[in-house]
Formats: sequence, structure tokens, C-alpha cells
Amino acid sequence: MTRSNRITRRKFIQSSLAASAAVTLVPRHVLGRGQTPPSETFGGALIGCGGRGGGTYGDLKNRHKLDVKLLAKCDVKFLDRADNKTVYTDFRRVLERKDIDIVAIATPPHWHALISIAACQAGKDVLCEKPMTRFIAEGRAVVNAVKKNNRIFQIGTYGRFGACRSRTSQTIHNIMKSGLVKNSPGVHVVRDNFKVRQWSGMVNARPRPVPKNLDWDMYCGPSPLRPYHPHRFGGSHRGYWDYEGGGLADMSQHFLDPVQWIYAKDATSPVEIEASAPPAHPEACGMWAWVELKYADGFTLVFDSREWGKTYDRKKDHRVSLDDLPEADRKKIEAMPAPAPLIEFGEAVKTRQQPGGHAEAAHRCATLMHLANLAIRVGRKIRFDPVREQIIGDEQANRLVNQPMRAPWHL
Amino acid sequence: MANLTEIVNRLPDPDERGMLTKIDKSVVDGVTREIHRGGRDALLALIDLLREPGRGDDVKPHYALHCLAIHLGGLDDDAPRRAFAETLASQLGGSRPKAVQSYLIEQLQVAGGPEVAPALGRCLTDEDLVQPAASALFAIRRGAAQQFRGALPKTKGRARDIIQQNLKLL
Repeated sequence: MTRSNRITRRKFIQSSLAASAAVTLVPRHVLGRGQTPPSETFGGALIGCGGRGGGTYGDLKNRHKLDVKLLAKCDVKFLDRADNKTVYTDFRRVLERKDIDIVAIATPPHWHALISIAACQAGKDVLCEKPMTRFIAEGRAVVNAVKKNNRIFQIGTYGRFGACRSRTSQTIHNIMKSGLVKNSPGVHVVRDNFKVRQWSGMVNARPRPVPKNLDWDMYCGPSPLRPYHPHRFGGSHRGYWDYEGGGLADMSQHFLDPVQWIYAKDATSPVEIEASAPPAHPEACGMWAWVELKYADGFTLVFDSREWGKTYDRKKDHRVSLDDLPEADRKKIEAMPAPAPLIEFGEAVKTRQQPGGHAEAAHRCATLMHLANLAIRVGRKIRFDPVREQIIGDEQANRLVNQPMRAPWHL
Repeated sequence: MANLTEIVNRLPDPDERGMLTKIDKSVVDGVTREIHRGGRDALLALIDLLREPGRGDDVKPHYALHCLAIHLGGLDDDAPRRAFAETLASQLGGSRPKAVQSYLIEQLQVAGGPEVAPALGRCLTDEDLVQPAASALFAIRRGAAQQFRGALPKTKGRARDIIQQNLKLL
């Protein structure tokens, strides 16, 4: 089978997908012994080749069992060796390539949404590192782009895939999903490992010359163009609101994603959020004690860093269980079927079903950490409308929901 | 009111890594409230302490101004926030370093309202300030479109592109 034939078949399959939900897979036996059907061989690209790049791209093969060939690597620090054939500094050139089907995104988070959206518009499927976004409105834009372009999007955290196999988690999931609990006593406290101190930002960084191999303007991208300092780049970027949101943003999606699935909160967000923290710095992420997020059904999620101030002591952990329900309602829960198994990214790409860590779920999970950071940054209790995805009654806080981007970048 | 520099110096020092990890909330809140009580004179004195990046140590005044912006944005009475915003806006377009004016504009993005839209609009024709001013107007929204439309014919190149993009997004 020649390369041009393979591309022609792939284009045919992709255009058919736009017209119908049915997927036509070319069976292996039709092609003959040893031939890989076009639907199972993929052109891959890695955008963001820093600390997580290798791991994120490696997941395509190692975890998701995709037969993917690395055709392009892109990073803003490749100025000295970009050839625009296999090595790039501009992700737009990568996405123009017709032979790339899947993009692994491992840039700092302030680029995740724009690259994900552009990739969807270019007909690519996306595996994106966490946290999914830098602010709430970005997440909704990604969800819309995935849906409009009929693409597969998975966030690079997988705790929910293990959680969904646990009988206890399945029962909790069904209880919360059933609507039978009107004022849930459930309280889930996530303690420690938020790396608050580790991923704080510097407040006294003095400008340094930009390294010759780094496109600093492109690195800053949609975020403000600040004077260069090495602490704003390469892992420690996590300490700055311009690019991420401290350890809370960096780590939370790992902890919260399975929790969000267990408590059946993939399609909603908390309505009240309160934090205990000192006044936040305008650019550098800093210390915080705890954040309490309460959903409309009463369920409460708490992040307790135990790295500053007093530890959280307002409510005690309370695992949701059948004991919370009257007998008649318990029977209804027990009669519910187990939640459908979550589909991994690899299977989703091949079958065009949505993966377990799909864009809406990932967006809602990222929203948890954004709301938490919002409460930290404004230093007061905030209320959130999970349908309109706006802060209620606090314009200052609401300005952080959809933050301006530096031209020419925009949602 | 005690000397402003002395008040601001009560704010925490960065630790050995340059981070605010040893921070007492009650101290920061107290400094913020005291600067607020000092009114416009204290605010102007605070702005006088701001420096361009790399041109002196303004870590504490930089932090103090933002704490004040956040504090005033949460009050039930809007008059102090408006007064704060108008004072910052009055310092734009003068002889202060552009990097300092840019930081004032960022704080107007945090705490400004339509009352400062005209002052931000005047910054749209300044190559060094057009981007932060556009971002602040985008965040404020009310009165922004008029400012963008007014500035558009007076600009070209990158500034024009920025204004056109923000007009489309609004």
C-alpha cells in the first residue's frame, strides 16, 4: 500500500465521520497479511518538549496502545535548530500538516486551550497535559471546539479509570447521579501534596537576557509579555498566574479528576467557594491554607494544603454511602446498573466514541482549581453559576473567569 | 498617618528563594487598611515608590498596591474603589516610566470601572501601553468599545491590530 493510497483512505474516513456517526474501519484481513489498516496507523506530533513532553507523547504508545509515528516536535526553545520539517517553533506550522492525526500537548498551561482548539479545527485528535487550561472560559472554548469539529480530546490524567472500576466508587457515583440526595452530607477532603511552597513564584526576579535559542515572545503568547527570567520558564513557570496557578493548579487535576467522577460531577461546578489564604501577589502564586467548594446538592469538596496557616476543621470527611438514604431509596440505587466503563484515549481515537477524560469532564475539573485560585486571589467567598459559568455579584472576581489575551491571540 | 515607607516596610520580606512563603495575613491586611486610610496622598506616595523592573527594589510597594486594589474591589461602598481608580488613571500619560504606567494599568484591569475608560483610551495610541490598556478595557467592558473606536483612526501597525481584535471580541 503506497503512502498516497493510505492518505487518500484516511481522508475518506475522516470526511465520512463529518457526515455521520458511523465509523468505517478497514479490517486488517482486507489489506492482507502484515499490513496495518490506515485507521490504526497515526501521524503524531509533540507540541511542548519540556519536562512532561516525553511522558505525554510516550503515553500514546505505552498507555493508549496507538501505533503512532512521531513526525514533528515543536517547542519555542528550538529557535537554533528549527527546520520546519520535523522540528518547529510555531505550532501553527505543525497543525497545517495533513499527515498528522494526533497531537500531544505538553506546553505550559497558558497555551493548552489555544493549541487544543487550533488542533481540533485542523482535524487532529488531542492528548493534552493537565491542567487543561489557565482560566475558566478557555475550557468552555475547548469543549465547543472538540464538539464542533467532532474530535477526540483526553486530558493527561487517568485516576478516574481506576476509580470507575471500584464497586464502592460505582455505588457513590450512582447515589450522587440519582438525584435522590437533595442535601448531601458528603464531604471529601483532599490533603497535602499540593506543592504550594515548591511551586510558588518569585516576587523579586530581576530581568535577564533572553537565551538565544528561546522565542520568548512566542512563549509568553496570550499572556502578558514580561521581562525574561529563567524562573518563569521550564517547570518553575508553575509559580506564575501568567502561565499556570501554582501547585494547586499543577497537582489538583490528578487528585480531583477521580473524585469528580466518583461524585458524578462531570457536568457541573460548585456554587460557593471560600479560601483561607494571605492576600495574593499580582504575578506570583503563593501560600494558602485551604479552599472549601460547595455544590448545589450540598456535597462539599475541600483542598487542605497543610502548608500555611491553620488546617481545615470546619467539616469532617463524610463518605457518601447507602446509609445516607432511606430504605426505599437504597433499593433504587442497588437496582441501578453499574456506570458504563470509561473508554481510554486509544480506543476512543479508533472507534470515535468519547474517552473517559473527555473535554467537558476535564474542563469541569480544571474549573474546580480555577475557582479555588479565584477565591484565593480575591480573598473572599465567591458564588458561581455553573450553567452560565460566571461569578455572581463580584465583578472583580468575574474578570478572572475570562481573562484578556495578548494580541494576536484570542479565544 | 505614619511615614508611608515605614508602613509598607512592615510587609513580609521574600524568603531565600525570592518567594513570599513567610507571610502573616493580619500584617498584610493591616498595612492595606492603613494605606487606605491615608487617602489620595498615601496612594500617590505609594505610586512614587514603584520602579521599573530591574531599576530598584519595589517588591513591597508593588505588592501593596495590588492588595489595595483587591481590598477596595470587595467593599460594599463603591466610592473608595472609584477614587482609587481615578487616582491611578490620573497618573497615566505623564512622565512616569512606561513600565510603572503599565503596572498601574494592570491594577485598573483589577479594580477600574467605566470611570477610567477615557484615560485608558488615551493610552491606546501609545505603542508601549496599548496592549495593557486594551486588556484593561476588555476586562472593564463598559465604555470600552467607544474608546477602541475613537483610537482606531489614530493608530497603525501593531496598535491598530490590537484595537481591531479587541473591538471584534467585544
